[in-house]
Amino acid sequence: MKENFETYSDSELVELLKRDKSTSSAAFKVLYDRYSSIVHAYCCKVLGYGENAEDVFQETFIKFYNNCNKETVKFNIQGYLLTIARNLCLNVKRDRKVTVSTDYLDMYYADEQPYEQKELLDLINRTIELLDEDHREAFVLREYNGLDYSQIAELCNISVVNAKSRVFRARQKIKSILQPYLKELSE
Amino acid sequence: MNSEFLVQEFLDGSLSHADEDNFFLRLASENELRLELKNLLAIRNAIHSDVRAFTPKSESTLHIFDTLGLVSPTTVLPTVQATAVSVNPIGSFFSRYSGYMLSVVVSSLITAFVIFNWFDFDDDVSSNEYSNNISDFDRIQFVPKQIDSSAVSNPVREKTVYKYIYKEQEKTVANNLNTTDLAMMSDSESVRKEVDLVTAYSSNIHHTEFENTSDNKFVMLDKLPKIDYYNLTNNENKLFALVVRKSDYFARNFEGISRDYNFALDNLSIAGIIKVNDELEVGVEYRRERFAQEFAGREGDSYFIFQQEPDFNTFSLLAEYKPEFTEIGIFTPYIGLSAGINNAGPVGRFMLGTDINFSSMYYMNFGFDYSILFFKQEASYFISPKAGVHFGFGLNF
Repeated sequence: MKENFETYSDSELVELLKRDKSTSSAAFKVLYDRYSSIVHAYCCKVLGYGENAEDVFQETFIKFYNNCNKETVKFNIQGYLLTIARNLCLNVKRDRKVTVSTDYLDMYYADEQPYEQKELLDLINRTIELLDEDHREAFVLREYNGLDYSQIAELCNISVVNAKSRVFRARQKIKSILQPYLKELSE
Repeated sequence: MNSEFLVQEFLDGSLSHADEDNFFLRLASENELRLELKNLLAIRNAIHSDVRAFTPKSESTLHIFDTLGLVSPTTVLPTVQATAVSVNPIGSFFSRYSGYMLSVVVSSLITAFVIFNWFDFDDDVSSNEYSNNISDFDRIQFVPKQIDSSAVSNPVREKTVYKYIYKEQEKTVANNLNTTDLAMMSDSESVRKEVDLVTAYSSNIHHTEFENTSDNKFVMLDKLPKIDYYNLTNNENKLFALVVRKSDYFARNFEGISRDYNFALDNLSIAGIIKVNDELEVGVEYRRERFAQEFAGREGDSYFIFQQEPDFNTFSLLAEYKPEFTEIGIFTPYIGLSAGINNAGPVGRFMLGTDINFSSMYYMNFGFDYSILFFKQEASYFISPKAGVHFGFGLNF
């Protein structure tokens, strides 16, 4: 009978990655289902939509799998994945100019999504691109990835107060840019 | 604690019970606080609905599992793929077969270019070779019609004769004697009475004549021949583009000229276009196209209108303006202008249409266009306009 790996903890799944192909495939799939969305969101928001973000996203999981087979078990898988993604993003930003592609922008929008929300989301995405890199990263980790301030501080090697301040400033800036639209929306 | 900070603390779940109670009390009484909460909630809700950010591409998922040598997640992939395909199936198709299609298009263009420039169509079909030398027409064995006494007595009403000028094989001429000419003669009784088909069919020039009952003034065609052509534009944020277009023109056939030959492959253009900025594209274009030419001449007491419909090799400079504010979804409207020259004279063209962007690499287009050829015959200047619709596709590089 096929095992239901979805009930397993992250550390148990990481252990199963070292087993045979069938088991490791199933275990990796569960981990991928759990964390691929937040890693993808992080890459896309930090690097902008495009090939760079997709490359880093893929590389993050490939690196994670390979490291799990070599190193000791990681208990904070989300933090570990985001650390890998962050380092890869820093490499990309250091090596080349980041371009933001708006290809396929409408592709994943659900049809049932209200028009106002689509428009607001589009504006937020554009506004996020206007933020400083530090503020953008903190905001993405808080709002998209759901990390608390201590996790953000640990990931970014900053103090908790600093992490909180960055998220606060980012929200403020986004809100101020969107103010005319939000005002119109509330009327 | 200001309202901005208070709301953020509340949304982060950082408020103590006492502060939370205080927050709710203030929320009930302060409009500013309610508005602040409403705005931040709207932003948060919008972010949580960002499906695109939270959904990895199926290609990425496949690549990860393939690279690691793991079994692909069958429960994940179909969902993601179905979403993409259902929203943009054409884009998906183009993406999948891009390599093959690019090869086919490039091969076709090269083949067409070779055929048009090196293959001699005169060997087996008729041809409309362009001539701007009236002496070519002098070689026509034309027998002027004798003017009857009533025509002589009316000096205002001269006779106009149409000469259809094209070269063709003997057997084709013989066939035309029973088809084209008879069809012309049946147009009206007055024409039927005046028709005086010349007996020059032994030459390789076919011409007929009939009286123009309106007046002898030269009149441009109100409808123009059907002409198909291709040209090239740019699209999206690539630097270089190749576009193919085909046109249909609102046309009237010249009675004596058949344009059936070489129809599908006639009138091709190739252009390279560079994107100057987000809205302006410029380039060079080579186009093989047809223009109907009609110009006047006189032989003895007869007034002639010479007609021909040759192919021209036109070289043009092309500019397209695609204002961003007109973009709607996948549609990018454009206004195009080109100025060129061929062996007859200068050519100008105006286009108004839209691109339909299926992906960053491919797009289709359609629209209206109007072209005009200026040419000189002996000491007189003539124009040949044509208007129609075009459609085609483009490749970005």
